[in-house]
Amino acid sequence: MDCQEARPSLDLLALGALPAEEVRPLEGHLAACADCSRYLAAAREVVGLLGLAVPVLEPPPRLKQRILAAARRPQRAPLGRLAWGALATLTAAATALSAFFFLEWRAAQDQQQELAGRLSDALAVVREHQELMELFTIPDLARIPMFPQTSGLSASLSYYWSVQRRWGFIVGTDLPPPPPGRTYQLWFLSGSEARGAGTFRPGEGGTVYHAFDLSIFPPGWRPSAVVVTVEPEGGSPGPTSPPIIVGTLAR
Amino acid sequence: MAGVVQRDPRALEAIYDRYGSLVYSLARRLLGDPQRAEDVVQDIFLRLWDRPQLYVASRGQLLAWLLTLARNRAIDQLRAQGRQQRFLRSPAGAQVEAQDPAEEAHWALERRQVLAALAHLPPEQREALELAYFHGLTHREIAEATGLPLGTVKTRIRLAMQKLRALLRPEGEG
Repeated sequence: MDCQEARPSLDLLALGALPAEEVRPLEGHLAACADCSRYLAAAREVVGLLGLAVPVLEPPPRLKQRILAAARRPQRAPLGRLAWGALATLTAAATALSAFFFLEWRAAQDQQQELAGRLSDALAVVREHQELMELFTIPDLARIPMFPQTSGLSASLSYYWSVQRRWGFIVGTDLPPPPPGRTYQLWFLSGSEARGAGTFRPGEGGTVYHAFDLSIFPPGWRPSAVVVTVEPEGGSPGPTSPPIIVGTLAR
Repeated sequence: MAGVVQRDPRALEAIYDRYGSLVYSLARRLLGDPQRAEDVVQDIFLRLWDRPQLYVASRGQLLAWLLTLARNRAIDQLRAQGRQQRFLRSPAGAQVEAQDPAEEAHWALERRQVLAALAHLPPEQREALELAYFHGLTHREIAEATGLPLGTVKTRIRLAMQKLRALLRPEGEG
């Protein structure tokens, strides 16, 4: 393919209006042609600005709070969310990973100029997946299932932990987003004492992965249950609502 | 952006304050559903936070990049819903004729330029462009939806893009 053949399709490519089979031959040409790459980048800039044409609406204030709270969270694993969902539900692994890589591929297709960065990104995801799989080979990794406490909730969560590594996490699927202005918070209970283990939100498809250091527990402290409650955004010092998901730990 | 690279939440907040309403507005208009629009916006800003290196300043302005991400995410969701539901949505033409409620925003001038450029397009070119941009249709799907020959659809989109490019990026290549 030469420039004369490629040019008529580049505006369509920038708009995302080309079917995949017509994109592939263009990619080969673009990789070798700086002029056409510049043309495409300029077309994409124009397409990007088309979004300015919609009527401007103010988003709800909670959205900003939610984003900033999530950004400040130290244990964010944004690209791992789908992977954890897949690991939690092995039968769905192929579907989830396909969807994930489709999104990655689509983003790369639409932003050719970022291709190198995204490839590196995708490789990082693959490495991350490998690391996640390795977690499940930890010799003392233990698991208990956690059960919804309300009939309308079908979330499937499990709590995993390794005493050796002083580390634990919950993972699962089908958890709906919390109500507006609220978040999920994880607690460990022992008698009347509750110790918080952080707030979290489900990712796409209700997937959950929330990890924490077991050093949050004082030496010798033995929780009897791990529970999830719905709390105000930012979390609470103690549970303010009944648990919606509960896992019972052997004493 | 340097602040985001250095993991300063105030930098992310400043970018959100500047562009959040635009990104939200686009996602909301494309998806129709406020909650899904919020999820798209959150996803995009956290992606920027987690992977700031994905934005390459030399390739274009941050606003266009954010809007492109929002549009792609929303279109992916619409495609997942199926083509028929996409057509049940409101006509795209209505989306470029609303009043500008943000005259004071620093991007207001740019927005007026985009609206003026779109208004400058012949209706048939604008329709083809909007079916691609707002509904996420490929040229073949547009041809099927409108009953026009494929070549006509391609030509209309190309002409529309060339005019927009000339109006919005007079110094640009091509």
